[in-house]
Amino acid sequence: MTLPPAHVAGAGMIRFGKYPVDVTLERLAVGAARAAISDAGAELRHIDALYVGHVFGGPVAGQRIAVQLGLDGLPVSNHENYCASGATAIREAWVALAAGLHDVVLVIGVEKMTDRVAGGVRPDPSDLDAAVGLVMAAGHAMSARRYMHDHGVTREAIAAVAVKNHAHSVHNPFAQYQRPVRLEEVLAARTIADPLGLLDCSPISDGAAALVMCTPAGLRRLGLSGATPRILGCGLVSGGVQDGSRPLNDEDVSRRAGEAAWQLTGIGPSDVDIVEMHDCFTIAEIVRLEGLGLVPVGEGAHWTEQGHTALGGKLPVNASGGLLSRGHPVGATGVAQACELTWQLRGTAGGRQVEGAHTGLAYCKGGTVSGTDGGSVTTLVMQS
Amino acid sequence: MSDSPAAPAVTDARRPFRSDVVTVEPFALLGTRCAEEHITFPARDLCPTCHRTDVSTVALAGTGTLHTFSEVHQAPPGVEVPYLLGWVDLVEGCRVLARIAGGDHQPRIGDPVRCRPTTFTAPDATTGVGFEFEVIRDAHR
Repeated sequence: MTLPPAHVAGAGMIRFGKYPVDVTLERLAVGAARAAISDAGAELRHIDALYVGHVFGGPVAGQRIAVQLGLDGLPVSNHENYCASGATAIREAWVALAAGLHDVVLVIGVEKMTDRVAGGVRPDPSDLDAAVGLVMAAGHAMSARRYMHDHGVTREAIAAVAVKNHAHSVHNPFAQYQRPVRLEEVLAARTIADPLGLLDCSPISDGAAALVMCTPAGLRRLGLSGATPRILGCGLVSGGVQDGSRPLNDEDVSRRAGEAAWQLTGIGPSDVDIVEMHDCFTIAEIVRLEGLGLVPVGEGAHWTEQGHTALGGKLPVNASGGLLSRGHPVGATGVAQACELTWQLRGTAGGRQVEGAHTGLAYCKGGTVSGTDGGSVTTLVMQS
Repeated sequence: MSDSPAAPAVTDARRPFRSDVVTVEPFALLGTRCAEEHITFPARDLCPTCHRTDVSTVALAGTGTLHTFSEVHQAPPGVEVPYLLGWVDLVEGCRVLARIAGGDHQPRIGDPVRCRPTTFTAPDATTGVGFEFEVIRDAHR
């Protein structure tokens, strides 16, 4: 089944990073929202509804943001799917536009982590994995060790993901880090969860990103004509219970998320020419690309080392710098990925532009549930 | 963290951390077995493989091999580091996430392991009997 696409009339971000206490969640969100509204040439009165993705923002964060923006009184909904929260908000906005409920909506992904999260994100305290001592970094470290064992891959090949993505981030003014790192730096960084070190991990970040999404009628309301990038659809799946019969890096959840995207949009893996991938950890980029069927199983690390996933390669992944360099304010990430795809599909991404980018995929994975292969996974497909 | 003083922790060395995870006397990991012989961890009221509800709770043997592991060096405040975390493939065919008592040696993928009791702490700071795995050093591989 395919639904009508949603047009992206405006995209806006604030630079991700570590902000002082007085830069509140609401201020972060307002900054990104105003940038997106301005980019669309829209005014507050044009907007029908507000969709907000966040994890740690607390009750009715979206409504608190609406008041600061001057959008009080509108339908506002809050969307939590851990690191896929922002992308889930986009999906719900797309569904509402496709259903004819609204014509112009504002989507915000936002997170203020530095004053709320210490030592890394972890499962809900009630989850059995939390009692065992799972932190996200450890889950990915175990994935990395098994991947190296199964595919004869070196530690260096996994670290190459960080080198690639940080090299891309030099060209992204919204990235938390905008400097290249050398392979030796990645390998020598402080150990977080062996074999992964600090530079294999996305940072704890503050930030916000926003989109103005429209129906064709909404575009007319904004006085826009001409082509805009379109959201063709967004897959959403949740983790399945694992009985232990599959390899740890089987990535069935990614395969199913890919299938959901292809079915919703009519796009296939071979159509994708740019990817924003949820590289919360270096190894995650590798196994998720394989799970989606974009890279052959066991080849992801080699593809990285050979430059196939770098700018100029056959499948550029994370031209933005990814979560590793752009930063990872968890609820904001999915919307930031959509901002990046918007700029790439418009051809306005500057030094990180992928030439001829026509079809983009953005993947987010959020959370863990004991005994399953994940919490939530989103697969957003956009086209110029 | 709450601003109010923490309630005194209730510690009971005989109480399982969760009744669906372990029994204490005798100590055993608990699993679910359905009529089609699917065995999974922990105890549930349905089979997650075939979704049958005619299931029974079974004591698992608690032995298996190490599928993968990591030595964790950074964790949220209050968690002592480093510690070993691993995925264990149980002899019954299911896979369990657990802390690994590695001893002085770095474990290896494929090492034989067996389950033993340890103390788990709940979100409300109460404790109970949980589980971890130790590497069986004297086993020949």
